[in-house]
Amino acid sequence: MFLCFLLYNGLWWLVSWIQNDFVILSPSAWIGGISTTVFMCLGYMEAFSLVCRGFSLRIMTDIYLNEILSEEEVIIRYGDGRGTDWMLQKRIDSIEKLKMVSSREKHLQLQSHIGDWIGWGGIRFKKILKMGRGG
Amino acid sequence: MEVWDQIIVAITSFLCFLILHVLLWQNESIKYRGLILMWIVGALSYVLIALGMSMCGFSMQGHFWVSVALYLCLLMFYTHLYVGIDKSVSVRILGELSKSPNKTLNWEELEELYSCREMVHSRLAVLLKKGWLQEENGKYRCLAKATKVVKINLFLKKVFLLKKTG
Repeated sequence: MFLCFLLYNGLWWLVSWIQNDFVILSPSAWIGGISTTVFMCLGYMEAFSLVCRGFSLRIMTDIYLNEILSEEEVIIRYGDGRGTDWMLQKRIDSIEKLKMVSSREKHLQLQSHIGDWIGWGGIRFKKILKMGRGG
Repeated sequence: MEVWDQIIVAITSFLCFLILHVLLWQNESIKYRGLILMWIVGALSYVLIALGMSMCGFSMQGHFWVSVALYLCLLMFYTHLYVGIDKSVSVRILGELSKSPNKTLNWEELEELYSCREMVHSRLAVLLKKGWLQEENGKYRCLAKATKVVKINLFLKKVFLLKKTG
């Protein structure tokens, strides 16, 4: 995906350069253009991550595919019948891949300062904005 | 220099937005404190700063499209941060680990602090409240707008060949 974003930015630069009669763009045009492409890429990322990892969207999809489900059935049939434990394991695997935590014999441990900062920052942010526990 | 003017307008608007956002979110009597309100506050912040700058004799016409683009980009970054912290399961797990003694938790402790049941229960409550689902004898069914979104989701899953989502 990031490669596609780079290509998109490159294409924008190329088209702008041609349109500008092969003259280098002014700093204002650069800022405006790059900001717009980054804005589009971030919006796309948000939408794509919703499709890939959206928890509420997945719940609605499972309910739609099964027509009607109770809370217990939502937990069991989450993610095409894989269950919510699978989802939790998937999240843990992804932060483990980023080397933020290590998971051994059903024990999770924070592994990096970045993971600690994200966790601590998340708690502070939610406290300041009174957002509840989140997640 | 003109380019600095554009950057100053965008950054000042963003700072104004942050202040308004924190002040509004501190007020728990406001029932809806979500993304739509955040973007309305965002739009208002820019308009406020642009009006203020115009009153001070600052010409906005020349660089409106640049400062707006930069400002929207900053706002989108912030939206990612906000949604990530508010909704991300991974960030919540990191938070629970960060709070725990020795920065360690076993599976049972994690389940106690942040159970899958609690996750599903809270999401179902929100979906029910916002009119995405309806409840019938303890069972949930998708309403029309949820069905539309789910159909789009299923279509996108096919387009991107995504098998395991959620």
